[in-house]
Amino acid sequence: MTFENTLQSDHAPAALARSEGRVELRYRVKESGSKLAHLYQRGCGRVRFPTVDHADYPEAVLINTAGGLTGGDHMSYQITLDEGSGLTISGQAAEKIYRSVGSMAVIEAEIHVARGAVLEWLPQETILFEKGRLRRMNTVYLEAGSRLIALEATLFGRTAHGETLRAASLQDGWKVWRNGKLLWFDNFVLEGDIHAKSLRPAVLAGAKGMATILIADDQAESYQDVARDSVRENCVRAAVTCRDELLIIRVLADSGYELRKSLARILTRMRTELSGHTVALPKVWENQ
Amino acid sequence: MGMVRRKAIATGIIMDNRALFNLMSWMSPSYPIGSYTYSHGIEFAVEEGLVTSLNNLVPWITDILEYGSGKSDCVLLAAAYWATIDQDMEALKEVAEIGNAFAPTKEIALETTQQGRAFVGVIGNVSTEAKTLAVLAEYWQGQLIHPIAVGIVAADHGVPLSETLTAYLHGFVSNLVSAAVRLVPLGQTDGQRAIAAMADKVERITAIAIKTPLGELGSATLMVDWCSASHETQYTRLFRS
Repeated sequence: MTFENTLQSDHAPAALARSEGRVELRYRVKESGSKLAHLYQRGCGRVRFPTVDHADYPEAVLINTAGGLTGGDHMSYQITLDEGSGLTISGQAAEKIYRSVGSMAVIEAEIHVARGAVLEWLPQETILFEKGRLRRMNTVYLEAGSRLIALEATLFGRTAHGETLRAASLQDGWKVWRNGKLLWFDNFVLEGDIHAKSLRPAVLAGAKGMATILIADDQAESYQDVARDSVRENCVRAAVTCRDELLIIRVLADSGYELRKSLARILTRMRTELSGHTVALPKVWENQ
Repeated sequence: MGMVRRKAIATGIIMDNRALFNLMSWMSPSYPIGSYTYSHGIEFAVEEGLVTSLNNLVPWITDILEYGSGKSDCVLLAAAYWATIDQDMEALKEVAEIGNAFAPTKEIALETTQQGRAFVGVIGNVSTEAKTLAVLAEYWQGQLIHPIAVGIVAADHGVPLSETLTAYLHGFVSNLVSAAVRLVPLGQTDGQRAIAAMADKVERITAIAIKTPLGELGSATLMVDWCSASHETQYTRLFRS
């Protein structure tokens, strides 16, 4: 596929044709379970629905047919889960943020999870290339009695290539609302010589990748001990905290490989704990 | 107070000694808001060997000022200050809501909301000028984090913003240093060296924060967040954060 070629080239294209994409998904409960009720795809935003066996929920795989984003590109997602429905979302490939000549690439997700609904938002990692500029904001609206497991992972440069970011920009945020109350607002901002800044002791202490896993649940705090166990099993720097009905797991790693390995372990453990039985990760997470 | 006079005060055209006196009281370590019980994750950073001397304490606190709570607290304080000057309660409510949600960990949330609550309580008993707090209570029933409470009260008392930010950061930095002096431990003189080393950074962050709109609120000190979250399960603890 084209993105494979792009990933392997030493020089990413300076400016792809400016692209725009949008995916809207809505799930609701019909006779035999959680079903797709609305689908809209535009531009470079596409979605496919793999057949999944032994999974708790149907799966949707998001695809950016442009193979990545550059300055001025805009990708937006709107995911709505009606009462009692369930969905696992993953991504076809890592999201790549290519060199931009000026403006930001923007990714926005708006997520609604109604009472009794369960959403898993498990995209693959985002890779910020040298001179890449990304602004991402995930806005989540939860009702009491809903559950969300969400992940965003970001790599500072193609770590396998030894790439370092000397002029790049990242604004990476979350807004999590529950029943009209803003539970958590987070906005990681690091711009310019990200490599030098990432070496700062209280910033990233040299970490090349970071990830946030959120677990929103009425009983979020009761999963804290298991979450702490799950991060202790890994050699990366990771810690768990809880703000009201939101469990926050932060992970820092020295390479993309290490980050991915840790995330797969933590997610597997937490999904098993939350559902009460072993659930395989989406295939895109396993086949690496 | 008329709008013209409010604006004149806010931009530092008018600064009287009475305003200075108030500011020194609020930011004094003896102001009874329990600051000395919080370390902002430094207790774990010391345990982990990340802060062991004056040489690595200074870069640690510098990062907190430039990339972490030092800067973000100032952005929130300034936003609260201007909304108070304008008596825009919807804007002030939004600042309060965002400020409350912005704490990265449970203990940093505790640190800033408990100090905010205590600050509001003391001010209510001591001053008759802090009128906006009562008005805001009709719009926002949640907690007020410390820098936002300070921003509101400073605007109500006619203390200029720039001086308020400088004094706030002085108090914030002094508290971190005081924690490190006790935990590492460091000599009192080294503690003062660390505070003195922050003077130009505080000046710069204050100037940046005044120009940073609330929409650009951000942070990058994930190592502080890691220390703070890890502190929750630290075996021996002197501090609440």
